[in-house]
Amino acid sequence: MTQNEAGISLESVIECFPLSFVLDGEGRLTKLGRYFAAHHPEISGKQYGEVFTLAGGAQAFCRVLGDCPPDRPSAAFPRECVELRLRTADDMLIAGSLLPLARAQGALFIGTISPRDITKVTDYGLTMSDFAPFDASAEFAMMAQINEAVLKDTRILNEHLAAARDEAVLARKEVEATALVDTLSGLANRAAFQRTLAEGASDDGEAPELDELCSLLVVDIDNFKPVNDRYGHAVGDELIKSIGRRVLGVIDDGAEAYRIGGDEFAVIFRGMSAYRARRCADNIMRAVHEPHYVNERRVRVSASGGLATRMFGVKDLDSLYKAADIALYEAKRSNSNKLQTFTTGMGQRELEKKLLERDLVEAVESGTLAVFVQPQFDIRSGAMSGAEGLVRWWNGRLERDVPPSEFIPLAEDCGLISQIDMFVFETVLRQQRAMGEAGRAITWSSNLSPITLGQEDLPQRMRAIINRVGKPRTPVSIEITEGAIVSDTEAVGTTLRAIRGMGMEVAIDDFGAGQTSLSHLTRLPISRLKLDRSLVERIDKDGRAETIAHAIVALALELGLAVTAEGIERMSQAEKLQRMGPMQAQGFLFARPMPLAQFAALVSEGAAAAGGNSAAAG
Amino acid sequence: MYGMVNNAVRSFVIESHGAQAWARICERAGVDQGEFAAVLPYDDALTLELIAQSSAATGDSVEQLLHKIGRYWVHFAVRSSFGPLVAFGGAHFEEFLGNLDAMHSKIKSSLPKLAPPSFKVEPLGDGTLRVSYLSCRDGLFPFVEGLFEGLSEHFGQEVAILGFEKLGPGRAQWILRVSDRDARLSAA
Repeated sequence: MTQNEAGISLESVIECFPLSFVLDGEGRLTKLGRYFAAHHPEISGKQYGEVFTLAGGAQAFCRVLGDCPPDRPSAAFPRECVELRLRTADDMLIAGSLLPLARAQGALFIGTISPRDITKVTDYGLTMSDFAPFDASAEFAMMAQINEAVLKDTRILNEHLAAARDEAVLARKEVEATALVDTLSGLANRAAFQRTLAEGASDDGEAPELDELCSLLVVDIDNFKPVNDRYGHAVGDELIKSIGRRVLGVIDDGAEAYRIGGDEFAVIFRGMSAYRARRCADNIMRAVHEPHYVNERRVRVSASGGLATRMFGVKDLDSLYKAADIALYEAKRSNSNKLQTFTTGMGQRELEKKLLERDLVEAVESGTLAVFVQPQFDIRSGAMSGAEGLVRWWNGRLERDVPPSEFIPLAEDCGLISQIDMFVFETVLRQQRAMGEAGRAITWSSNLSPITLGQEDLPQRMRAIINRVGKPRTPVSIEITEGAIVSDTEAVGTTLRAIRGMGMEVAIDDFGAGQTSLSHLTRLPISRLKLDRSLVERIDKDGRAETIAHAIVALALELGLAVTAEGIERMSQAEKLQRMGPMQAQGFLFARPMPLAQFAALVSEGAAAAGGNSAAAG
Repeated sequence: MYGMVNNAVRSFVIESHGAQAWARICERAGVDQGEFAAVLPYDDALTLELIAQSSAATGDSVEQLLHKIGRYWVHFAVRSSFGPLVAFGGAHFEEFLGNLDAMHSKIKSSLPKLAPPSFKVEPLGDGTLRVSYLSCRDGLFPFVEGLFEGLSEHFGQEVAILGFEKLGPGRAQWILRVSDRDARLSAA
């Protein structure tokens, strides 16, 4: 065993460094580290030049071998790194230092895998054990492989994710495509239509300006519901399919057809002159109107259409749709089965309606609607016997009273009517209770619209109001119109019985206008009839009107119902009615509707009775 | 456990029992049939559920299945992205097991949620080894024995279990007799 000055044997060094070897003074490999001994024992005894090529630090290598002095001190070892390529092992690159041995024994090479080849360790058949325990190259090699493996798996993961994303995108597109098609008609559906309307809108919602040559048609089937009712939904569905096919069949290139509702279609014409769009719209209307043969039936429907074109100052698609819708409304209002083209005048009317609707919402929400009172008198004694609460609206923007005939239909359209009805009912209830407590008990009445009457929770809402306000000493009378009781007598009867159960009376307003079956009078819990003002209006001029009025009063009295005649404006009318029997009288002849405060003053001063007497007597 | 383990279970079931069996197992376990992401950690409960469902589907007991998967794991790892690392881990059974902790410790620096077991190898002479095992998971001893078998096949060495002692939850030691690599090869 050879030992150096420090007492370390050459063998122990060789044992520690698997990639080490010793060269003798002739340059032959005399001792091999563990790796070489195990994997390349054939190199033993060979000239280093046969085994290795010098890849780096050749000068230092040669200097050490050539200049190796007999007693060279170890402190003079060259520091340069040398790189060797092992010819027999796929040119494995080994980096290390060649150290001259004392007393001209040769040189010791201590090496490890070159950092440049660190990722190839397994290609060379190296394992962790082929590295010295303190050789960081093993860790580098391992980390390089781990990183390679993780990167590879991450790439695989990314590829999977990308594939999944692509699949998801495709699936979403498929779903979207399905979601945008009306499966019945095969046309694009409402969602697609709305998407088209919103297309190109900026972040602040501003829509892009339309192409000059753009028109939009909205078509509504006039009598689709009766077809469904008469032949069943299967026929109705086939009819829709047939209409869809026809619409597609007659539209030109550049037109897009949509089914935007149960029986409503829309067609957008792009790149067409207004004239050509109108011609195409006419064709569509005709095609829809032609008889359809569905399920061996011949079905004919008519349709109304509204057409709006860019040329009338409409700048975006959404506005174009609104304009077409307004035109459609006009078409249906004037005469169904008609194609109406939008004009700016229509827009103005619609705008006014929208503004009024907005004002009404504000008025209801802010409680600025008012309840006026119109007194009712015993037609024979002239004594005040009742009062009807009537809603009134002063519109500050328009600086005028908006008549009920104008705002009540609007309230019905925009869903405010029930709120208004309950507001009047509560006001009337409070007044009745207050007057009753003041010793002036008269019957107050309040109106319910057919819409309110049709709401299932009406009795509960009225009961809640009564609980909140308190029950008056005399009953409140609830006035309903004839129209409200003809549609669903059973449901109305249930509601009316609930109302009667709460201690209120029920009066039919405008009786005699012609809608009510007399049988309703026996089947429904009615307590009073109010003669229609159209009868009262003619009662002193038209003998037949007088006869009918007389018969109604006689019938009511016979059935034990009370009677009120409203709309009395002339003394001659009052005289006629006075002779027909006992009843309440209401009209301008006696008193106009007045604010609550004025009515309260009237009552307290006793002027009302005096006025009523004079009118009745006069 | 990392997805690579679940992928090994998946691959084992598909290779040994077919894709339909795996589909049924996934359906019962409530997971998607596709591959797991090898480099992402999954809940241990999912792996255990997959093994439990695989046991029910294949008719093997959980222990038998763990043994088979342990054996399969070596072949699976060699074929995986980590294959070169397995080769780098050692040229024979003892060397590989002895380097496994170092290898796991390095892998953990890239996959920080890795909770690998520890293997300590002590040569006892005459070709016998004491392998001490420590894991944060209990009940995987059959998997380890399967692993020995897989390594035995991979390195071409016969490995016989001379003794087994369970030292506690997730702790055990084996006494193994390991033949020389050449002996196995010559036997083959």
